[in-house]
Amino acid sequence: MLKELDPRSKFVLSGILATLAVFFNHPLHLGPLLILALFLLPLFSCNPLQVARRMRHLLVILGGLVIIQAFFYPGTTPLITWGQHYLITVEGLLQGSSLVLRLFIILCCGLILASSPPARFVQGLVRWYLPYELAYMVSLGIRFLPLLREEAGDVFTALQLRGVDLRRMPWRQQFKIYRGLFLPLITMAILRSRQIALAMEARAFRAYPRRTFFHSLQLGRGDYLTIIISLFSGILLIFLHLRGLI
Amino acid sequence: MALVARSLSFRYEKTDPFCLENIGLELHPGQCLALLGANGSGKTTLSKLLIGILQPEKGHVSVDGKNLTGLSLAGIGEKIGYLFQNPSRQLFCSSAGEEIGFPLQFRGLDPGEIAERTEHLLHFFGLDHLRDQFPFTLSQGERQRLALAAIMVLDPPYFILDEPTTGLDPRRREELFYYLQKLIKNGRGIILISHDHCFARRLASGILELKEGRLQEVDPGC
Repeated sequence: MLKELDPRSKFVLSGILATLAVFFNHPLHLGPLLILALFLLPLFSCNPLQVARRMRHLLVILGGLVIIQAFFYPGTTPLITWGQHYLITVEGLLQGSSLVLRLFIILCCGLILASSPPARFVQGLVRWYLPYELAYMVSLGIRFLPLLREEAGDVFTALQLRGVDLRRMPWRQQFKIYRGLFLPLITMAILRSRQIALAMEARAFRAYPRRTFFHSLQLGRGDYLTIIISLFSGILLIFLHLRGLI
Repeated sequence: MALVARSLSFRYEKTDPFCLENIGLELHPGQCLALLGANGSGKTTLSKLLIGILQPEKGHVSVDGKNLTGLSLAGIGEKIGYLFQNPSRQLFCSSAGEEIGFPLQFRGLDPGEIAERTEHLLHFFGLDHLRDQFPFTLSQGERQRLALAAIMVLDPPYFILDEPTTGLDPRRREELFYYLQKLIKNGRGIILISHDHCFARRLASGILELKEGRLQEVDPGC
């Protein structure tokens, strides 16, 4: 299982995938790259269907992005016209599809990175000479997100349970309520992060300059192979693309 | 007229065994039921089913003859006041006073009346001096009292209170006891979830205990 790989080799693999996703700009290139990323996900113990189900709301937004791009990208080959105006152009549609495919590939990269337990993730960053404090903050930040989401969800439930029916409100009033909730939610998050910082210091975080890791990371044969294959294929694809061969 | 749960069964994942099975209860106006049980026995899960935050896999909940599935959360909120286990999760305004008066603003009430009701509850729960404080900076006990005041301002006929005595000092606990007793006398129905057995047994006319996902009635003697 690739899940057991060292986080550093996962950084390289996802880094190459993300670089290629930014480098290529056509669905014909980005499509196969996404298929490769989706094929890799189960090897990192991540079920793409389960992820898609959880992110179904995001899928709607991404669909909207394609439509917006298709409408507003200044293309020259019309697909649908309205009088003299080009409503949707081929270039716009391609641009919108590329954007969404790119976002999906980057999402897959994030899922590959998230397959490592946070402690190994932190150690991987430290081994690459990132200061421990910064590495730990990165991992803490990632773990903080679901908590924030849960908190915001509870606030909206509490709001409705106090007899405030958002669905029946005009959108202006809804917007006013959301705007009103935004500041307290952010303040709560800041205060909570201060509490966490205090709790960490109380438990001797940064009390001594050196620290011990229970498990030390070691690059194995599989890791070297992943790094070499990722780098080689990434550089080769970029080279072929620059030469106009793909 | 009652809050009724019939044959409720619930599990978080389809592959898990049921954490609550065949639960039934009836809460009438002017009645207080205490719900006891060990940590993780499902008390909060049951309360979330009764308030419509979670949906049962089997059975149904109705309030005054209306099935909860046909009501919006706002509609349920008009009928049932719910105190979260962690009060911080239900406070979202930028001051304690605003927190209490918040739902009244959407009912087209006169500002004078909103201020009057808010002041009354601030005073009752000893929060007058904290009127302009940001709720998150209050102590645990103060937040608990503020959350209670915030749900009581709508004056719903039923209340589900998840650990209302947590963080309250003995004097405040006693005051809360008399306040809840007054509510019951005024015809409000209360489901009280608590680990404070003595408090629960003094207030409630019926004691229910959740054990291994099933509800059983226990002797109300303290």
